Amino acid sequence: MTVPQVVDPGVSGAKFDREVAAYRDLEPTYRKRGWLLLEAKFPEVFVAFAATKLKPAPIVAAVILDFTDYDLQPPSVRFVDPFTREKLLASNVGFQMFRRPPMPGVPPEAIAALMQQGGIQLSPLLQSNRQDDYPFLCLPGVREYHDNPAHTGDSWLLHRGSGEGSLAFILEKIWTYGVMPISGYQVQLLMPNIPLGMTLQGISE
Amino acid sequence: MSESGNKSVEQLEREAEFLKKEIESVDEVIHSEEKIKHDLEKREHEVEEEARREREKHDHDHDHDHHVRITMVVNGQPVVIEAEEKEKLAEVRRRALHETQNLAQPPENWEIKDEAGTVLDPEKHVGEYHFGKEVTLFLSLKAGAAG
Repeated sequence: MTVPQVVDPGVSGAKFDREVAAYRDLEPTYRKRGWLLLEAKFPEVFVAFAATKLKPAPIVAAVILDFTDYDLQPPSVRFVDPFTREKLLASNVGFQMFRRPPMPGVPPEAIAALMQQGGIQLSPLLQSNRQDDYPFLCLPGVREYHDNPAHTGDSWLLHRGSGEGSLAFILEKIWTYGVMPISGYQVQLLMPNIPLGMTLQGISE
Repeated sequence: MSESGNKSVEQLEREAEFLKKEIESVDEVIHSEEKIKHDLEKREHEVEEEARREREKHDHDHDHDHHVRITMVVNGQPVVIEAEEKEKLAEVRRRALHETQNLAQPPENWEIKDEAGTVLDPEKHVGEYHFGKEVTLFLSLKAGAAG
């Protein structure tokens, strides 16, 4: 459903242009991180994320940020298919974002070991009510978070101007919690017969 | 009786003339020596001045050796901070937030990251990271910090 714009489109448009211009200034740096801005036309910005630690680097997520009514409202963030721009349901988004609780003073190696043992409760940042519903980013500064009935006490207007809800802020969080942790391909093979490799020189007469 | 008592007037006059020339000659030497002294003093002043300039230039270069030009990207907005190597990153962060007027959140809520997204320790000094003369860092507001 398209939400009608209630803020003067000139105001939201100018703020949208400012966000996109700031991104363009640093685009080479962002591209190195695997952020690919595919289209920016008010009110939407379409960005894909590649996991650059992997070779070949796959596109692991794509989002459309909708700046309608910005910044009376924060941007809406939807995960989409990077090729068709179709909105993805929770069941086929194929992308996860986790956050761990703060552990001041604990070395990163110890945190990693604790996580491996399941000793740390991770919170999902990408949530959905049902598998056949659209997932949303549970993060202050994102419209779906502030519109959620669970967060009625945390109005966007308490956050506006704090730095949250900007294009750079939202993209950085998706990258930090969703893309950066991706470090390898996880392959599962289901094969009834697996042929074994042989060295020809090793075959006896 | 004087030493010149047995000399004729002519002899005395010649002797006086001779001495006068000798004095003139000595005066010329003195004048010449004074000119040399003056030239040496002038040269000494020039060398001192050159040494002072070289010392200032060296000190300036030396100071620059200990400076790092940090482009701090605060929530997508870049600002350039000239930092000293002995300065803590926390101080650079404070200056960057002040210059960009991002004062709604306390500095501790902003993480300092490099281009690869690695979080840097604000309590470390700039020099400890060996950035070189220039570096781009990012100030990233912690997720949900204001919630």
